[in-house]
Amino acid sequence: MAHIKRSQLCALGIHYIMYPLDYMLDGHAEAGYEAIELVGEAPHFYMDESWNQDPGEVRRKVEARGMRVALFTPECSCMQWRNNYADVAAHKRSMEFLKRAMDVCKKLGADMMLTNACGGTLDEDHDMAFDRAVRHFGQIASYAREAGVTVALESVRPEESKVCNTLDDVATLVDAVGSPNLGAALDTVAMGVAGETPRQWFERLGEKIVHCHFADGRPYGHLVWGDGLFPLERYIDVLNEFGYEGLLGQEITDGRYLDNPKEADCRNYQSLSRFIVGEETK
Amino acid sequence: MSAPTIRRDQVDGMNIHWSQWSLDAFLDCQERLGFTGIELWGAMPHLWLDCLGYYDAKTIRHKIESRGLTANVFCPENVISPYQVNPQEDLYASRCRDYFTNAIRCAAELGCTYLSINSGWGYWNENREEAWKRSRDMLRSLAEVAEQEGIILTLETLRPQESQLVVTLEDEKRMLEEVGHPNLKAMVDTVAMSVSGETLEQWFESLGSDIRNMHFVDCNPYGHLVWGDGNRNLGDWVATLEKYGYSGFLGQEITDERYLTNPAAADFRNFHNLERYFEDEL
Repeated sequence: MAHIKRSQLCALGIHYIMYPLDYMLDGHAEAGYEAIELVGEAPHFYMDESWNQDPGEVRRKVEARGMRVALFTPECSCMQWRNNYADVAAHKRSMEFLKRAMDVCKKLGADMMLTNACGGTLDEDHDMAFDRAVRHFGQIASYAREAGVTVALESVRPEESKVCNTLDDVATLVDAVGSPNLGAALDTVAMGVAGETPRQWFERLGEKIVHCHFADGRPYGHLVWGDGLFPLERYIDVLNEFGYEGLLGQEITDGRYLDNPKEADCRNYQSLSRFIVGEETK
Repeated sequence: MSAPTIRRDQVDGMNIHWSQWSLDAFLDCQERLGFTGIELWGAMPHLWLDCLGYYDAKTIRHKIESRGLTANVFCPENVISPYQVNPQEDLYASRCRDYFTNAIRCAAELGCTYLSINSGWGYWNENREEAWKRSRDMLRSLAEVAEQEGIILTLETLRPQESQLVVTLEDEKRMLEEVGHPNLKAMVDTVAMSVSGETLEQWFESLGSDIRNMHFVDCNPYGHLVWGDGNRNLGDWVATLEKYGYSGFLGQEITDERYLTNPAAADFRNFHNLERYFEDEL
């Protein structure tokens, strides 16, 4: 029977961008989450390549609500900091940002960071941009080893990047870098858009999948479970079959949730709660 | 009576939907299609702008002008960026001010006349008047910087999903009056205007020649669309522009995700729909 553990459910607050940090953390805690993936973006965590706010204060706020920061995801696709720039100076500034983010990650009490390989452009040759991504992620993996964090590389939609928008690219890159500090993250929306399935991801990458962005989609969307078209129970069956016990990051981003993100969190949490085992039913 | 027209050099091509392509690809396309002006959206991968500085205005200006184009307007990213006109937390406010100050300087270096700006948004769970004051003070202090740099800020309205501050024509009028600085002028965004149920006539009746710049795109009423993809009447609007003697810019702020993979095709259709109204095409 399809099952997950409560501790696997991991809140993400992108849909709280119109509200301050405290409101977001209250929402996550009220929904029932014990773990959060903190996204390093305004207005919930301020940082750039030269400066960051005090992570200790944020950590205390999270822990005071009975939760923990399980993962830190610094900005990596919408803003200027990206991991696969052709421009050398832009790449350098992005790496400064990423190294700073690793330090923040540790100080938040987390040891995993999620990122992607945006930064190339569509008018580039795929293989050239991909080779560059392999070099850049080799560099990122060595920073990660020094910092003592694991970096999880997710795939993205083709509207966001030409490289690493498929399982094949992510798996080839992770294998080519071959570092214990670089794993893969399964993002169900990018997976759905690419026409892939969770089974294909686990068959190809197995234990190298260290994190999931596990949201509903049509296949586009990043939706609350139940608002999209994905077969939740069958997807959880696959997680069970391959023994995945990592986190299930609830990356909800659609504009429809921005006015009332707490409601979205509660509804989403309840959709997933049906599969929770190993404790008395609430 | 002759049919209403617009001038070719009023129409500014924009690069938001080129966000997955290089700056060169965008500029080559604008030149080929027959644009003479652009409103440059200041974000990567085209231009790096943050609270610390910007790169590299000189090179970018050369790229623009060597193609026979002029950067008329600069549009620093300030909806999805970490920086907004309405920062609340003290530690962040100075960084936002630095960001917009850099944007104004960058606009001057690029040779622009105007810089598009908005009110920021404030948190959804805070008092509107408190947030309003922050925006007013920030806009006044930025208008002073703009005066020193010889740039005019043009304030566009936002959709109610984006902000609780300057959203309607009435808000726009109030903010312009309260800031009361000659370097802050009015700007129409046809999408925000349509979403608020206002007409172009109302804007001209209310603000007249203070309107210096526009984001002039099709919509239904949402969506920043290519002319022809929405349901606004281009001919009627061109007649209104002429009736009120509008000679400012018409920025083509196309943002819908459907255009990201083939922005050149979008610009081609858009430009040819506008071209029918050019006075030099008769």
